[in-house]
Amino acid sequence: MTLTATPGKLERTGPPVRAVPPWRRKLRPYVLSLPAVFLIVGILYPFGLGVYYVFLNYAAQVPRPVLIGLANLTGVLSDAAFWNSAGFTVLYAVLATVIETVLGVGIALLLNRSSLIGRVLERVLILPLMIAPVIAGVIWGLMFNPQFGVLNYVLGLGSTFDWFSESRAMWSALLVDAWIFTPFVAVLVLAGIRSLPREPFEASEVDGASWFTMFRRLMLPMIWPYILVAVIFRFMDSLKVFDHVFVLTAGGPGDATRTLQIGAYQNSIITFKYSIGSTYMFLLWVIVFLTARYLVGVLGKAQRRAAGTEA
Amino acid sequence: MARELRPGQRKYSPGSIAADAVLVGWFIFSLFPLVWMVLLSLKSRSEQISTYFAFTPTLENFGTVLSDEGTRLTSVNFTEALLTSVINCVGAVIVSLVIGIPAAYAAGRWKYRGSNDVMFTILSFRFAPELMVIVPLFIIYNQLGIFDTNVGMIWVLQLVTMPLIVWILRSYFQDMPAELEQAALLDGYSRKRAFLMVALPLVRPGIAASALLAFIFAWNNYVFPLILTGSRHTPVTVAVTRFLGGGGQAYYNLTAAAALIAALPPLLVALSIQRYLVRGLSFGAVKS
Amino acid sequence: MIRNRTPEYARRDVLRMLGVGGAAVASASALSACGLGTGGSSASNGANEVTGSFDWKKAAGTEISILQTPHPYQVAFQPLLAEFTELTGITVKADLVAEADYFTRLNTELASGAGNYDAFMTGAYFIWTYGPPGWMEDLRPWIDNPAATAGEYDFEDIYEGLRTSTAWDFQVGSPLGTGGQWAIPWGFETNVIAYNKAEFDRRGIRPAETFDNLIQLATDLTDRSQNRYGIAFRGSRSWATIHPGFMTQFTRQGCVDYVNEGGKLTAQMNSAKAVEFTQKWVNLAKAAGPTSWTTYEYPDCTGDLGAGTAMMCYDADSATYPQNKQGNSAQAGNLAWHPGPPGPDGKYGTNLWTWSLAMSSASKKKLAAWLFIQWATGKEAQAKAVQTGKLGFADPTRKSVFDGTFKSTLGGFPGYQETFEKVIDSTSIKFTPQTQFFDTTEQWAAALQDIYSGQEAKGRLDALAAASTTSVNEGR
Repeated sequence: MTLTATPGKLERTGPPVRAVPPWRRKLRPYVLSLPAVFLIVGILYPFGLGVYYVFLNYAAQVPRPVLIGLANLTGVLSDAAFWNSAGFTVLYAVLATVIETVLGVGIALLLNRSSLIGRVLERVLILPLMIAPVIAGVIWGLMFNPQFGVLNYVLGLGSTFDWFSESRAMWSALLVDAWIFTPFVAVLVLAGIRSLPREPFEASEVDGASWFTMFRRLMLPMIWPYILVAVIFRFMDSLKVFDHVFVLTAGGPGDATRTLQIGAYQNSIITFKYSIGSTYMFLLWVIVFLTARYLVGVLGKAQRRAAGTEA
Repeated sequence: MARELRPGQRKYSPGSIAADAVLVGWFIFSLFPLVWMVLLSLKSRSEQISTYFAFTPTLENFGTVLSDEGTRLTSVNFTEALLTSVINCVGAVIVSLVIGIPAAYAAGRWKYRGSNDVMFTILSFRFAPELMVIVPLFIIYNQLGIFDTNVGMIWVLQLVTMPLIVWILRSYFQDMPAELEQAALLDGYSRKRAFLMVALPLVRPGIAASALLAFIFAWNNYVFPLILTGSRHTPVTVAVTRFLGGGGQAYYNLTAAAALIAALPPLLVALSIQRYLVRGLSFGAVKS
Repeated sequence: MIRNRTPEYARRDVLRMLGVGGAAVASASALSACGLGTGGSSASNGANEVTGSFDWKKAAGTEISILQTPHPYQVAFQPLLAEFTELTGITVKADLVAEADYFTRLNTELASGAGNYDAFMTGAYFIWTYGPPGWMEDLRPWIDNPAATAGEYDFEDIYEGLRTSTAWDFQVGSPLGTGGQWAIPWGFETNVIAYNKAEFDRRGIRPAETFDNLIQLATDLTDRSQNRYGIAFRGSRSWATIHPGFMTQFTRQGCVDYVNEGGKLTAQMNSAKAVEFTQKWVNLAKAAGPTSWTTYEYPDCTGDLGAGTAMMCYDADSATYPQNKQGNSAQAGNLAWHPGPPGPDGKYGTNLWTWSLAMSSASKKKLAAWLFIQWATGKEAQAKAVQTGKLGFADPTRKSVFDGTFKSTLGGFPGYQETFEKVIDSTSIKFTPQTQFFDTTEQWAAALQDIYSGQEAKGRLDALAAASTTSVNEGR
């Protein structure tokens, strides 16, 4: 997954080395990677254990867990609550990604105009991303409160505007999501824009092309790989969203914002059904994995195309 | 001095005022919660939810958080928690560097069988749902006796720091021209010396940026220390939530003050490495 | 399946769970889990090993670890720990976890069988889940052993409703009070109404004496344009939404959660009475409750009361109590307490919450842990905590402490004592004990939220009842 916008640099062969037998040369990367591999094994062990739980009936209420095969998987997959969660999670992830990408690209374009204001503001753009999400969740929760929170007061919404009614809860969670993560998209795309060559744009300006045409025909294809990188990260992270949504709504009202990780948390930690919780996580992991595979493929294509444009 | 225009840039136009206005709007939205947190941290207990902007500011909360009074309320010494966070995060970053640099070098320098598997496994940590590993991890930690220890935290934080450092540094090693090392080898340097004297200094900015970014994300992690530490080695993110209190007592003002102190190190680090942030945030995928 | 849930299998089971991943490293804690009395069921309780005459110094030199959550009780006891060390020679290392995360930690802790903590704070409902797998030590043999328990301990001094609330035999359908004593009540709360007396006096009104009048009163007091509403109570998507005001009034209106028919529980949340009450309760939340009710937890409720936004608050008396202490809130000094409306039969059935102290069955220092629990729930320490507790100690679990020390601290708390005395005899846990408590009760809260969002009450509660009946009987 070499996600560079710059083409070339495909195969790299090791520098010729004197007097070292070939088998040692061949072994070298493995030796260097060995500590990392050990560490990976150390981390994969609990992960494997988690997967193993999927096939047990491990729960506080079941003192002696036994292997029950695929019963958890079939049970969860035939449970409407799971599909409700899965549907919401995907919807949330798509909306978060789209909103943050559009806003992020827009802010990057505006910052790229490089006005004095923009240069000052650019320095603080990243701050929300650097705050611990749990702290962000707590602060936003206090601000959203209709009785004493500052938002309704400042926005003049009075004390009856409920940010977490059934129809608004998702959008309020998305608002916080956008607050934290739009800067992520913006800095990535801004970096992309700034790495572009000047010549094609100067030429097109001479031709009298409108700004929009220039953006649409020239810039967008070239920064597309950067946008895609941002989309991949945002989409995969959004699929496992937990922290701020849980702090804000706990999955409610009803099941309106119950993401898969919240479902897993409720099963594992609140109601002690570790195997059911693990099954939720396992299925989420499968979704993330498949999505990642697909998106990385799309990205590879886009990069090759962008490289072609640039050449 | 007139700057040369970058692609997509225009000289002054009527639209630019509107553009700046939109930008200012975004930044008000973006910074308001932080400003609000600062205001809240300056309020007294009886004013914490009964006032908006008009109140008598006090710095008392910061004193309370850092003093024995704060320790009495939460049973966590906040100053010690800061120290614990520093030890955990610096420790985790150092371990990741020591283990990750060779692996990143190997992956950036050569194509070898299995290299992609190793790299992708490392990356998958970044996208693994944390809850999946937490119950097993807790059991293992208790078996090994590393529950509530710095060692335990440094280990689990590898899930956060390792992918970041390995992927970012791999991209730096890939960018490094192989010829430089070859020249050093021809000059009679040993392979090891060539790496240490030539390759490593060249990627120094990458090491610094990835290490600091990894530090930030390790610092901000919450779920792992929540489950895997007790009161001896509580890091700041967990210590902050202790001020939310219990039994009808919510110290929002103290929480805000503690949160502000806890947020300062990552914010300052972030501002200092801004130039390298992009490459880091994208795991080396975007090279600016 | 239910018959298998006897505690005596616990240790071996925990070991088996630890072995789940191959147990390549089954060292320290696994051994600790089986280190004490791996024999039969009777040997697993540590009380039998204590013989001779009682002596506080019996476990001198030991260090115990306890798990707690920040709470006025814990704050009151923190400075007293030195006295305990002086008395017994036992040092106490207290770990604290914020309330929102407390049970997460405790669950993971107990499930692992690690025995990091010898004693811990717990609520009564948790016994229903922690008890069956054998994670908790039965304290009854300890209380009954004169070698382990001081003569002046006087367990019966603790209110009866509290003693029975922390005992159960884990048979679905059995009432509370049967079986082992799994925890000792340490501090507790009754769920009653706290109100803004200054405002009530200004308007010349009095608290309501029937549920319908309460609805009317709360609605009349609500003026959203002034950011003022009638009554605060919880509504978040959590089991904790059900147990305070809701369960109390639910009971007073003559509703029950389950009926036991020949050992099989049948959920009753959809009985005609329950549907009527639930609809009224949700309507009350809409008409006179907090906006964003579905996110409301008790610090929000008590905070609104203290800020003067909410005119009443139907929640734990001990949670509203600190709001009346000077410097803690804008309305400090203005609040008063009232039992809330009795049911149509005039009775004040009241649900309770108790923070209790329990012992981990995996503890290696059971005697020291028991001495700590005994001391902390004893007359002397509790009286001292009531006097010196920085955030108060409401309510003490011992009648002697309530009548003696506690009453004298209630000068500036109008109605608190009268309210307490009116409800205490009818205060107990009003839920039917069952091992799926958290799951079914959280679903109950989700159902309230759905009804709040506009779903039809009867249909939603039918679905809830059907799912709950299945869940509690099948253990799914």
